[in-house]
Amino acid sequence: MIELVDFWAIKLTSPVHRLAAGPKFVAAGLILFGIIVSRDLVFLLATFFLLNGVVLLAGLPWVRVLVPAFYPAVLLVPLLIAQGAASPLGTLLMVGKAVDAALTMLALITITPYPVLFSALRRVAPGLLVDLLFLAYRSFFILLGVARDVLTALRLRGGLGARPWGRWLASVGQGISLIIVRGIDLSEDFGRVLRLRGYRGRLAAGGTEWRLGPPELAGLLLGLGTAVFGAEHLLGGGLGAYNGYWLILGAVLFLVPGTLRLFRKGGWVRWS
Amino acid sequence: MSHIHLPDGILPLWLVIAGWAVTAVLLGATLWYLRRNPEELARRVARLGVVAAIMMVGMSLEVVPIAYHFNLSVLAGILLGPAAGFLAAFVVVFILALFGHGGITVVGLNTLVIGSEVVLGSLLFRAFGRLVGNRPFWQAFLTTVAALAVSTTLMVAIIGVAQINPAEQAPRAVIAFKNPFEAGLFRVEVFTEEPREAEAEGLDLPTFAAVVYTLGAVGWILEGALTGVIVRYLSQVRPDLLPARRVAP
Repeated sequence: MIELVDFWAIKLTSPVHRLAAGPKFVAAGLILFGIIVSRDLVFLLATFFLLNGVVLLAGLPWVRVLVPAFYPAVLLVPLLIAQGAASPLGTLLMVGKAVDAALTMLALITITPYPVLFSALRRVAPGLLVDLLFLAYRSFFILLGVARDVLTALRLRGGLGARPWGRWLASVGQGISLIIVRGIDLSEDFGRVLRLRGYRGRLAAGGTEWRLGPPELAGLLLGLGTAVFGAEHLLGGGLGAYNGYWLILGAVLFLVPGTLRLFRKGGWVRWS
Repeated sequence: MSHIHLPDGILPLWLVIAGWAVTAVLLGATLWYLRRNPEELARRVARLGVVAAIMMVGMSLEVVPIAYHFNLSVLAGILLGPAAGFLAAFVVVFILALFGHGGITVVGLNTLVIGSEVVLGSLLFRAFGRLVGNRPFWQAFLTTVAALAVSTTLMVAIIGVAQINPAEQAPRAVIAFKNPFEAGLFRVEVFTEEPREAEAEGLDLPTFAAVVYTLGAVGWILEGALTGVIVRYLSQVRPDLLPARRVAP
């Protein structure tokens, strides 16, 4: 799935993809804030529907984005075992936060090309650190291609089906070693290119777009609303009388245009 | 199993901020160290970026029967050294958080845990070289198992310090969910339950530690064996990539 993220972020041209990057980051930050501080399952459920709406509206393959969002919930297992049955609602809350937060980040990275994402970080992080993020991310996708070739070669030669485990591990280890050697060769070439270009700790990068049209304002309002409802208990219970029925209904209605778009384009999983 | 696989919003705010603060100081120091030699900067940055990418490739390869993925963090420490290795740990943890693997707010704490594997990997590899002599597989295996055991302990310690109490976080029905049209017809108040007396107890840390160490030990051995195979291969094909191993007399 990871190798497809790049493709989805760059090639798709949905209304969500066309939003200016700056407001998109702010909206994602606000949604994340709401999820982190929330202590309300109704709110977390509504946010889940809302984020699904964003994914569908962006024309992303819904199932393939949703599955990794549940991965952090699986990783909570040791903690949930230790907790036992002491607080089932607390457990649900932890799982809800895990899934919603992961889905927020996945939605952001699948609708924003990574050069834009990392160049925005230059405002808050040292340039050298951002360069490292950029290089690692780019190299990852290059090495993933090398890894795919090596794995195919191993599979064709029967190395991955080898038993006992010792032989399997040796095959995989040698495959990864080969990827490392190829990667180091790549880094040496790349180092020479950087030196030739007079690299002094800062790669050239474009700025972050901060256009603020009606679509961006809508996105920001959505983020702000999520943050306010999430932080309700911190705001002195001003929304305490509010009925979550409307919140869920609103989020489900938000799903409608995305779902229609999905069916118009050919079903749940468009890319196998 | 040494990662902090905790999502956002679970750990107390002071701990999250403390994690970011310590990580920021260490990152500042390592960046300064990296910049000391401008002539070497380009080569080091390229090497660091690629080794971080190799760690991510390792993490994307899953051992199917037990749903375990390799870290290669100790290997990164061996290849890069402690300072650059710590930077690589941050880069990997940050990018993984973008993919929803670990919370974005716990990147600071996660970096400290993975960074401890990298730093220990670099330091212990030399120490075990003196102990086992010119046997790269065992040198790397022992280094990896020891480093992962320490980092797992660090993770358990962080969870212990956090004193997570799920009952405290239990929903308080801030926003109720009930039929707005027919108040008496059906009222869905599944989320309005107040915490019971029994729920006031915090997380059972010994049980958590037992689960993590039991699952972790399998992972340490697998990771140790894999790192051993890789280091043995590299010592034959590209020995220049490994720090000079001192052979016992």
